[in-house]
Amino acid sequence: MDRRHFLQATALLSGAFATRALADLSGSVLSNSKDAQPLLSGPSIGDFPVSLFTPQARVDIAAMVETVIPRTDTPGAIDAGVPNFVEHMVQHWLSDAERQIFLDGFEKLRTFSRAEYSQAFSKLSSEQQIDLLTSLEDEASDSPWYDFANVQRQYVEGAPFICQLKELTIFGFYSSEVGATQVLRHDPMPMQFDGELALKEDDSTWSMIRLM
Amino acid sequence: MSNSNKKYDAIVVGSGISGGWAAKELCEKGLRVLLLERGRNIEHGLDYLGEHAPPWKIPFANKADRKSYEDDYPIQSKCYAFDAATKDFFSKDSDAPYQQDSDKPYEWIRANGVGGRSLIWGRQSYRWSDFDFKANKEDGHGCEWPIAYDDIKDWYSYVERFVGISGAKEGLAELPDSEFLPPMEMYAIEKTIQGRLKKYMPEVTMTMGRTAILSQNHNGRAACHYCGPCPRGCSTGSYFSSQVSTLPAAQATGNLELRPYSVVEKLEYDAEKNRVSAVQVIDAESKERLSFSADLVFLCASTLGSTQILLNSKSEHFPNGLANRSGTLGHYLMDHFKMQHVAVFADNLDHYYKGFRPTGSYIPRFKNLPGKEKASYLRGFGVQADPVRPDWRFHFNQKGFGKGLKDTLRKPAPYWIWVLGAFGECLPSYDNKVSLDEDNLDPYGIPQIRVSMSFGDNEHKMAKDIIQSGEKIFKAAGAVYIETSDKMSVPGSAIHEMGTARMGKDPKTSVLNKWNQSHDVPNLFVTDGSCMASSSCVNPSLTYMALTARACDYAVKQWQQGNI
Repeated sequence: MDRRHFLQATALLSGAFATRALADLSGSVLSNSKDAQPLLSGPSIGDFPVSLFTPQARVDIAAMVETVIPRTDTPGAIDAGVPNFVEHMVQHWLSDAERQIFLDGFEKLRTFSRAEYSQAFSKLSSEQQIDLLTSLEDEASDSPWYDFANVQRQYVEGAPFICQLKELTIFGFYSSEVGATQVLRHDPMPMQFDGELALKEDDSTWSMIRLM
Repeated sequence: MSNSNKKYDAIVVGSGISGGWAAKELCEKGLRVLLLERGRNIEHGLDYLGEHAPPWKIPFANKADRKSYEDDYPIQSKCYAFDAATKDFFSKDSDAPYQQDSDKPYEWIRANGVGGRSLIWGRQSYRWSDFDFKANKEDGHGCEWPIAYDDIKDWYSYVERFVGISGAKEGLAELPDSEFLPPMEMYAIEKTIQGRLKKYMPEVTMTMGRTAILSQNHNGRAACHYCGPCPRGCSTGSYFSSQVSTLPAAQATGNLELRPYSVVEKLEYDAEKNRVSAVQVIDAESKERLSFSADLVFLCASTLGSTQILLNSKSEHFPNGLANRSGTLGHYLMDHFKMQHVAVFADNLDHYYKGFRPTGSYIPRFKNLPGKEKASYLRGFGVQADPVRPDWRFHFNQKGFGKGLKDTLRKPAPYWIWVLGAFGECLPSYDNKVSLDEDNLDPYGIPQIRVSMSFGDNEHKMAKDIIQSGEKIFKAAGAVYIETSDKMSVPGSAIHEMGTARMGKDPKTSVLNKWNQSHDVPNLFVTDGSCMASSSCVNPSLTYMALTARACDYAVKQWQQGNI
């Protein structure tokens, strides 16, 4: 949906739309962001074009993110477009130094998989995949990434590969449309506030959280 | 220089909370008003680019775009309300530079654009009390306020009825009740805490946050739909911004001309007539210089913005800045200091919530008041308190892989956290100041301001008590884990900057009189935060609204009687 066009169309139909009133107020001065696109009608986080990994590397990345968040009775990381999101983040969001950590760790894991099991990571059994990632996590366990207070807005710059992989996978998954609507609960227009809603044993969180 | 013919009765500089109110009041009283805004136009609804974007539409899953923030928004990105979905409302720091002393960091948060910071403000709305207006006189810090609570209380009512403030009546002299819409509901955990505080710490009151967000339909605006992130803009107009409230009202009179991209460089002074004779403007797009005239000039360009204009309006008769015969212009800058404490609660775990309530609750000041504990410092602090049921964002960094991890992360954490955000009053001090830095010009060739501010002994003493009080509140409330912090916010970052063109009784020690009118230049009014002679500990915007409406009423009466 293109919100600007929608709102303009609505204004034409209703004639007395507050938005139009203010647009008129500005006279001939056009809005600075006239051509800017609302986020709502922009691309989803898993849909950005990427060009960092080879097709073979992508198969392994997909296997790794799926090991972190697998398909169960609900969709998993691959279903949610996380492999593409992770590649996008590594390519465009990580700093040069962080990207190097990721790429080095990724290659080391792939090499180790071939040396130890004579197979690509993607071909391993899910037990073997979990074992490999767990051994990486054990090695990394004194990283400040695991500190209790490490929350949303800070990124641990020197975080080891395994922590980067988990963080990007988790953010990509629970922020994705699939994750937010099929694994979490998505309620964009609650229309009311109820501070005493019953929480049942198996209930998921909302997809959003309000912070002050 | 092109010289526009005079066709305005009043010019208002700035379209944020104060400027919007000035425009509305002056237009409704029949004056032809030119409203100058230095930033771009921001159209209600159309330009709220981040509004209602679901998590999967926010670039980088809303993880801070560190490189771009560092380049364009090194200071603005520190604001709690700044993220990928709100950043377009903030000014790029590179576009609006200022100077600060290296040992005294100051964070100046700005939203240059129509509506100003009214689009991104915290919306907490509290009346000042009579104790606040009397504080300077009683303890000798700052200059005596020229007004008392009684002078402004009807104006509070006047603006509140228009704005729509939701909240609960408490009957406290230290936090007078507003004209309220119904309060928002409390979380179950808040009711638990409130009940315990009543029993174990009866000296404190815990009330629902008083906020400029509609709990029911009001004046043609819709009740809040509880979508959550207000600072992305609100198409339904459920929180107060200039866009949805004051500007449409001003527009409806037919008397308003709004001119975005109008950077005010200085005011011209006519010594013979003793008045501001023109407002000098640089068009931000064409760089053309323009001059506008009117009988009345209202500066509402924000605390530091208005003072910058006055400091830069030097003349033979005002060598130290316009309306500055007192020499106090630029001095007595204040901002609240914020401190944050967090505690964990194991109660009400089988309660969750529906809807994202856009306010916390509030614990009004409870020190240094009649019948309350006398502290070792002056004045006091209030506390904004908010419960959070942590989700995966709070504990994504745990160990494990696979189904177990996925299942843990999708569920609410098995605890609540309750965050206390204390706001402490800052004493007015001559040394906390803003001045012009002639060596550093902004992109328009205007001298930048240099801000020099730090918190003093009284604030540091109060900070110690805020930590102890936080612990006491948490214990009384039944916290199972408490983490206090001795970190005081950087000056400016509470975004409650006040002072620098203070009101007072004596023209020798203050810039403005009791009507927000310059002592020196009768057709000049300043009604934003710069007028404040002290800072109270409550959020100040509601007081700016009331002072602005009151000043407009006075100015227009004087103007009609030919006195201005």
